[in-house]
Amino acid sequence: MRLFNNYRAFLGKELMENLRTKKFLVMICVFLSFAMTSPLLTRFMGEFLAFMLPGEDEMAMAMANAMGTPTWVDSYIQIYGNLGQIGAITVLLLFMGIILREKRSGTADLVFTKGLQPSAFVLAKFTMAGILILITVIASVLIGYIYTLVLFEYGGNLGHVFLGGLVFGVFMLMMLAIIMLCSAIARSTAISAVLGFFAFFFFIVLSAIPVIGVFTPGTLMAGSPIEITLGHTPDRFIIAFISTILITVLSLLAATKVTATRQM
Amino acid sequence: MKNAVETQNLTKQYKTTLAVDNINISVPEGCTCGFLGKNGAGKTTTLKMLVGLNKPTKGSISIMGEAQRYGHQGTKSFGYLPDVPNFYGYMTAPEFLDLSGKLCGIPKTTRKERIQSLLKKVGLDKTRTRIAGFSRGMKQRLGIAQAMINHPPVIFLDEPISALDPIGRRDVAEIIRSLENTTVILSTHILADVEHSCDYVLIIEKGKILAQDYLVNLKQKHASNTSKIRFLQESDAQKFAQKAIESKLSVEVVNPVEMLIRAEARAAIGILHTHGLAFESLANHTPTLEDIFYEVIQ
Repeated sequence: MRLFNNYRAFLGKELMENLRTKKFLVMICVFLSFAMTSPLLTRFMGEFLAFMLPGEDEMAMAMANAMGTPTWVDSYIQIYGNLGQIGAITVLLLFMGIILREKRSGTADLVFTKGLQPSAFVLAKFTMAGILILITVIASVLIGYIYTLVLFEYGGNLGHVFLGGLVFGVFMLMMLAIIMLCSAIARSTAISAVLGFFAFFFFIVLSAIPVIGVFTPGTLMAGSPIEITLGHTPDRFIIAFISTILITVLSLLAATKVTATRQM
Repeated sequence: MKNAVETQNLTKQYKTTLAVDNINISVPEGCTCGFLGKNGAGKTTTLKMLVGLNKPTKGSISIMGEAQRYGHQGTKSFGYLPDVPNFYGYMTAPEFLDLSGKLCGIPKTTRKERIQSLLKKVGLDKTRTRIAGFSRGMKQRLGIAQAMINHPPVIFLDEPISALDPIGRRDVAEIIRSLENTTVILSTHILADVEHSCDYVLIIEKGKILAQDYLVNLKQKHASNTSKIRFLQESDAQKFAQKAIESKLSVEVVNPVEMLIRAEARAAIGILHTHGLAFESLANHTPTLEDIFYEVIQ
């Protein structure tokens, strides 16, 4: 009961922190701007190339032709491509000091000596940041859906689009858990950021390995959201999904252990 | 009298440094204890072990009769103010105290009232700005308020006044003096603050406890060996100093006609009598905490 009460109290503090320090605002602005610009860029790539290459109309036309006529699927490929890279880096930059900063500044000492358990500390941070990330991802994907619908006259099945976004969000939650572990282990924010970046890079590389790559968490960011948006749910996705959840849970447990035992 | 804080063989060994060396502390309930030591003597490490933030290499800790274990977050019977208190800058003082109260499990009804009374006590009741805009003194006062949020019987304050300006020091010292029915352990290297605010003293040096007792007892203990002599003439004072040194007695000149002799009064009288030196007064000297501190650490 005490654990739950402390968790709830700290959750409120985390909500206040994310709102007042503008972390949530920064995150939603970055994600939404890419969700809005991606369908536009896909739809008007030909015109965009002509604008970027003045006096080179033939070359611009040739490049546009080589890419073919963009479709609503291309719009989602562009959305997830951008969100996967820029979004993940934004999450990394915003949350790389999520545990470390509190331990270094001594604010963690104040709450721990009030009886806050390290597990409640880590879990409340993960819950609030996770909720805000999920809201941001879903809002971005839905904005992307509206833009795709307007620009391509078809945006896919809304339920599938939503599910695709949710799967992408689950990958981002795993990244958040790994970033939290890095933040608990590292002794400086820079090291935490480097560790988090390598973890992100590792999963991207892993997902590109033939045969096994499709079973790894990286596929939840790269391929699966598009397939689910198209209405397909491949069997291999289940394994990737389970492995993602497993890594998330293990990262959180490890972050809790390190937070409880590491003395600054 | 019961002890509020007790340790047995408390030790903290870092890789190559023995920060705290087998210390046994007994702080009686209800006293205000000055925890004295030079910078790096082991005060903060000891306090961090006492409040469960540092893991002791060996030894045991008991606060209000309850054994403290590292990493075990139970109902806390103490409040703690770290040496450099940092708060969530985006919160206001009442919001931070509300969070502290929630974490201590104080019900909503009593929490609000308690926060108001604490803010008034530390002089922050009219402050509306966020903590990020607080001065160092305001942060220390908020730190004391958060340490008292759950009415703990023991409060640990790590260097609460060292970094403050004279007015801030006076304000915080007054708050500390006003704490009733609470055992306060106040770590500092400013001896005057302890002399004014504390009735019990712990002196630590190189990780070892060199003295622990009530201040009045320490003064009595150290007074018995020091006499203060005031002479009528400078020449007598100079001659006395010379003869005392020849007799291998330790002499400290206070001013041209006044000096402290670290020996029993009988020894001083012997010299005065033998050499026919005239003096105005001779009395047992009550040492200041500063005298005791230097004597102990030397």
